[in-house]
Amino acid sequence: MKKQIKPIVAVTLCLSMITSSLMSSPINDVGSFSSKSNATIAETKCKVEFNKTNALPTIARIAVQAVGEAYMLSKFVTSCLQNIRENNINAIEDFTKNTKNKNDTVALNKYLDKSIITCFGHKSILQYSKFVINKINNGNSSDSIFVRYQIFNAEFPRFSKRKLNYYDLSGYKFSKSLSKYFRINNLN
Amino acid sequence: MIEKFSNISNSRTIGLSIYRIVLSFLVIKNMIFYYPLADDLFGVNAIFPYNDYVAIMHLYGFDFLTYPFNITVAARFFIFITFSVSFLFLFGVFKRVTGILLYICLFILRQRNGFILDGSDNIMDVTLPFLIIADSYNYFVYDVNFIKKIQIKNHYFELIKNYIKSTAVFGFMIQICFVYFFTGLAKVQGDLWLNGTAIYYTMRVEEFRATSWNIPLTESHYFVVFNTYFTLFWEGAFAFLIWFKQTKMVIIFCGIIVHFGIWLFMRIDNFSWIMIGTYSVFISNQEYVTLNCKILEIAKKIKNNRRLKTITLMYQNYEKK
Repeated sequence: MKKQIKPIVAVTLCLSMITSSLMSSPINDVGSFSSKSNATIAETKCKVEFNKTNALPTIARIAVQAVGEAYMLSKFVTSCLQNIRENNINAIEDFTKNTKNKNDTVALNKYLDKSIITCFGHKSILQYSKFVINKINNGNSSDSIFVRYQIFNAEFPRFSKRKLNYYDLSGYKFSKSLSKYFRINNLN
Repeated sequence: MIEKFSNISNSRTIGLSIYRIVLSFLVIKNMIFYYPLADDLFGVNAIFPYNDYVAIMHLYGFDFLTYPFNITVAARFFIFITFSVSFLFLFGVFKRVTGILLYICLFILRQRNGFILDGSDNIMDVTLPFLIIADSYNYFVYDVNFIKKIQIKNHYFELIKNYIKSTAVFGFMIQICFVYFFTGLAKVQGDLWLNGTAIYYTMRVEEFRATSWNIPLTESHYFVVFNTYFTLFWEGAFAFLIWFKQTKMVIIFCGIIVHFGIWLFMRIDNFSWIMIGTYSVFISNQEYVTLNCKILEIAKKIKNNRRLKTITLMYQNYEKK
């Protein structure tokens, strides 16, 4: 019997997360995912927002649900991001101590890539992404799945401009501190 | 001197019992929230990788405490066990044995998924060992005596026992002072706390913006600056002023207001309740009795006033007739 060839399906999930530093922004997790099937690209963008049936929601619901699963997940995501940031700071410190050429950004990026793989926060974010992709994918098998999570540093208007509309995003400053694709293996 | 110090443990038994109740309630509450999500939070495919948990336990040298979360239903069972142990601890059943078991359960959960914990869990970690040792089993206790207690009636033995308990009480109070003092010090290092605007930023952070009042309140210059400096000074002063009779109640009252505000406007619930709970240990049994007498006195006055008003009203009605 001729072996059936599975179509190549690649799903890319982008989770954008805002760091919860003192100056955080009003944007929650905004996720977009694109799926590529048999070279035809069908791209959809959606807000990753889960309801109760999805078991684990994103922090988008924190404003309405202060206790329970959303609250726990918010703590989880915040702690993971904090862990990643601390890991990066330590890695940069380590790199500058042990390297002669401190301005070598290529070597530094390679070093950061290596260090993030062992970071517990990073691993947990990837693990959480498996939950998310399982909900979106509805059990459809994919050959390769990549996850990109982004860490933004956001500043909302300073105290002197406190009368500005808080919900108007044009008054905010955003800067990206992490944005990379990571492959998720052993999806179950 | 040693005897005087040893008596401190006996003078804080009410406060310690109150704190035991608060801590147990919070653990029970956590377990109730964890239970429906047990597999997602602690199971084999939980959001924190199981292999990392095993690696952490191995790293700390606690392989013998590694609970098999990889077995189906194991996570739910563990939550149920922790719930039961904290329920027993609430009523002081088996006293220190239950306390130690609870500490082990919380330790395992913390290692399994440390990313879902918050400040209240840290406070529990650092205070529970002191609570286990100290005399926190005098009130609100269901005493179970399966084994007949061996009583050693020796003056020196009693003295050493009380000395250890008193040291635990002092350790507990110093620990809380450390928490506030170093948090205050950390705040002083930040520019936003020093220029009096930190409250504006913290109250507007999306994750902590609990009410629709946060935005209009932080638009007020006076509200922001007053609350920022108030928090800063109160936190810095806590470790020093809590030890004096004259200032103790004021500092505790301010603490309750601060933590209630944090709960109301930032919805950080467990942390607020556990911190308010720790204040109970700073109040001595004698002060609780005095406080109780004052409350009863006020209640009596209110009752008498009401009765007097009723009698006057009845008399006026009688005169009208």
